[in-house]
Amino acid sequence: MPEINLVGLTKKFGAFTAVHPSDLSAQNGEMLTLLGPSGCGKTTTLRMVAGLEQPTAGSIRIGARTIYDSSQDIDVPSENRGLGMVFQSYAIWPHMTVAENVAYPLRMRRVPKAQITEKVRDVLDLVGMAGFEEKSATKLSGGQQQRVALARALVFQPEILLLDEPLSNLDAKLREHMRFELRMMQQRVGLTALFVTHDQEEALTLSDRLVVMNQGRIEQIGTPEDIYERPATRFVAEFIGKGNMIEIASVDRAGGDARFDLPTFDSAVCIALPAKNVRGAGLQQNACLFIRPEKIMMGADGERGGQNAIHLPGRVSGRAYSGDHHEYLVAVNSQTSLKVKVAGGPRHEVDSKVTLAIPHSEMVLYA
Amino acid sequence: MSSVGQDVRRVPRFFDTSPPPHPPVSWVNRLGLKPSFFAYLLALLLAVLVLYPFLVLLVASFFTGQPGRLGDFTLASYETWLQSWDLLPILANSVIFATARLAIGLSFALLFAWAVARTDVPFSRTMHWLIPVPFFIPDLLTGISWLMLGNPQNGLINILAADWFGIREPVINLHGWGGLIFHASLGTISFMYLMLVGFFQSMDASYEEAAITLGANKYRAMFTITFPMLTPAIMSVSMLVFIHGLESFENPLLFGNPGGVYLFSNEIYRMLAYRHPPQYGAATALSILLIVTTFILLAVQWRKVGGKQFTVVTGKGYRPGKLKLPKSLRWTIFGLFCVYFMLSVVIPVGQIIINSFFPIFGFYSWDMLTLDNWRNVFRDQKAANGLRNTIVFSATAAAAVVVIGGLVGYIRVRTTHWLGRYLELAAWAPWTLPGIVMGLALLWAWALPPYPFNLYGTALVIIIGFIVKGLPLGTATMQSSIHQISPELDECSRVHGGSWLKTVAFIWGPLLRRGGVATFVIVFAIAARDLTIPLLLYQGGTETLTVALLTYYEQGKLGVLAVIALIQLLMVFCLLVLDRLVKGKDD
Ligand SMILES: Nc1ncnc2c1ncn2[C@@H]1O[C@H](COP(=O)(O)OP(=O)(O)O)[C@@H](O)[C@H]1O
Ligand SMILES: [Mg+2]
Repeated sequence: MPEINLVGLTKKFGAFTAVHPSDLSAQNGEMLTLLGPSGCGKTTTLRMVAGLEQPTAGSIRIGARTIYDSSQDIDVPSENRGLGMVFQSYAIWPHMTVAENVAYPLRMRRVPKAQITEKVRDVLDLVGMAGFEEKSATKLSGGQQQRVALARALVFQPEILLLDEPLSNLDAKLREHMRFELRMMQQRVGLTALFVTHDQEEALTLSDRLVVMNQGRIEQIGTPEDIYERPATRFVAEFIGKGNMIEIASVDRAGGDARFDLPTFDSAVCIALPAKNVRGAGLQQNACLFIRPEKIMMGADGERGGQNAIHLPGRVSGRAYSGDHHEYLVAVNSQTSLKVKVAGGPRHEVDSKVTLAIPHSEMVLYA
Repeated sequence: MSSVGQDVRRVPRFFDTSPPPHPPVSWVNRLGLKPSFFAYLLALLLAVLVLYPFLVLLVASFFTGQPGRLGDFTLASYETWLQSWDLLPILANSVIFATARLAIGLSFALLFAWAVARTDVPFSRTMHWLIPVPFFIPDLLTGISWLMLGNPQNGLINILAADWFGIREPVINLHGWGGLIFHASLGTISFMYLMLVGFFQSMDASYEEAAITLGANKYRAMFTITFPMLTPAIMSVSMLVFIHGLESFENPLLFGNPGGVYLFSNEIYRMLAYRHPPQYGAATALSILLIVTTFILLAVQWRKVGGKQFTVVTGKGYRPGKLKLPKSLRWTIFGLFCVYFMLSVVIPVGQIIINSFFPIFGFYSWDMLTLDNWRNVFRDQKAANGLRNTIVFSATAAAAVVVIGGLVGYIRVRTTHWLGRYLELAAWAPWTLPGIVMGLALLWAWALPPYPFNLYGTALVIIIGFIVKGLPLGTATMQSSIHQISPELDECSRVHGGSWLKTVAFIWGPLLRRGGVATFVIVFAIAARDLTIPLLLYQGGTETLTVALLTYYEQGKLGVLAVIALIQLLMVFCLLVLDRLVKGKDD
């Protein structure tokens, strides 16, 4: 399975730029996910790869083959790109049976009849739809349509598999189930896949690497751990997972460290962060501090939570129990409350005084 | 189906073999043939079909000649109309007629559409099935039938009144305004129902329900929410129907003219058919004046609704909750429907059927019963020609409109090609052209060019006329069925190896079959019922059934006429059944 490379790929709709020049590449056998809020240009990117939308500029290569290049005037028609695609609505043709739907790509490739029958049967077996060959496509449930769409996209051993929010039309339970199944299938077949979703949980669990997009630009590319643990930009930090974002009025960057004050109810806590915990252009104003709720330790009033941590006094203002952990809302000053996620330990009542300990290493300043 | 846990599925062995080759590059791609090519081709075609005759008509109105020869430049034709008061009564009559027809048609169409789509009126499915039927029966046919019953000299009703009750004065006189408006309204109700019921069906019921929750009673909700929300749609439909009113031909010919009521189309026809030599100049100038009038009306309308295009809405799957009406009202509405169906279908068709079995109109007794008319009709050259021509011409035109309408719809709905808007407009434009004007324009346009483009007197020119006449509704119907095909369905075909030509063949074709059949049926019906176009364009051998009907009517051969009318009805009925069958199969 070859890799796919996008270089400087751009799409404008009139004066509006849906996708700013972007570089991307998916390695051999990799599941690469495009993640971002709706309207950020994920679908447009995928459709350009599929040949359903003509890029304004840039090039697309699959392995050694250039399928689009605006400077060389290369534009391989969609049908000759050799891609498999699962559409958001599944696009199961209602006038065909399941077998006819799945056989379509093979028919277009002039595969002999006997082989078609065999391959269709085998691939339907793979997606767990064996025996459904003669069923009319209109009589399938959402999950079944999804499997058929996948079978159709796999049956001709495409070079790349494209998936545009394939799970978003399923109900929650089925969605989770199909998520794993999809991942398993892709890994077994060893397919290079481009997956589009706006659901971060889906993206984190499914992908080898993910690409976070915002307003037509790529914010960060990395493994799920990279993205979650080390968000490169403020947008990524806010978009992925639940995070605490504290606005910082001014930052002193003299001497490499970033120093700033965090006001509390009594006084202010002065924090000094090493440069490696600071991301972005290094502005002095409009900075903000990012901390994941599960990285904050919480103890009784005055309790110390170890070295290399700052300690903030606070008051519990809300609590929610969600099975395997408690979620607290802790006010550290009159304007700011922090979300804290604690698994086990003593329970803290609302209005009780607590001390939060935040390890320096877990704080990131986006400035 | 096995689940993830057990996981008995294996990757098929074929994944270890090399994949099948990419699809061969399609010849349409190798030739660089893009769908946009068809946009230009279509633009050319529509220019020739629609624009060209229009322009020739305009030019011809400034010349002294006749079809085939332009003659010299002159303004005299316009002076005839603009320097005398002759235009005024025609205009006044046309406006009065169009207004009355619209008012009656709209009231009943709204009532029926609302009742069928939004209330628990009894037999609503039957009503929905039967109300459109009159639209498919030619006006000429029901009109002649009603005149057999209600003309003041020997109308059956008047004869019976004289025989049984000794009333010497005619009890019913359908000549003149009364008969004209009565009969024209019957067809209008049916047509407007067809146009409007989709809006009622697809309208979101939650607005109404919200109003009812807030304490409005059902009828207030209807008048304050339902109708106002549909106002733009109702206005558009009304304007189109009003314009058609100005242009009516058959009804005023049958009912109005004997009572001295002439409208635009009749006047144009009179200039051509009843004057010696035919007054081509005056007729052409009057046609242009009529077109100008309708354009002004349309421009006003466009400004009002902001240029929003009128489209035929087909119901979505969503069935809004139905309003419960009191018993008396439910049955009153149903009763009105029964009366309507009696007047528009049962009585006229019944009269035609009876008449087809008697040699002389009006003399009905058991011993006169005969099949002679039925036998004669098959020996009658005119009728046989008419039947064949009507079927061939209408079917050809309908097939052409399905293709043209499909392409226009595709370009309009699926591409952003700049020509899309203009193509749609060109397909709509003939709506504003009365049949008689269209006939005259085609006569001018195709008698002018040299051989081999001179189509004067050929069947082709009538077929062109039917295509142009069927384009507006045909295109709208095709377009709305294209709207219902999700773009992902054909994109999916492209990505998985189908060239656009194969996508058309394997995906679009089958998915559009139902819309295509519906379009075919509508255009066929429009063409088969049309009198005006063939009336001006036929020559010996190319007459249609409607022309034969009118000829026999004028000759008073009402027995054969009845048989021809029934054959025509049968044809329409077969089509409707075909339409139902296709729909039924898909459901
Ligand atoms: N055909 C189009 N014409 C104009 N704007 C478009 C078109 N398709 C998408 N857009 C715009 O481009 C942006 C990106 O759209 P899309 O790629 O569909 O977003 P996503 O899939 O990430 O939700 C959106 O703002 C959308 O409105
Ligand atoms: Mg999208």
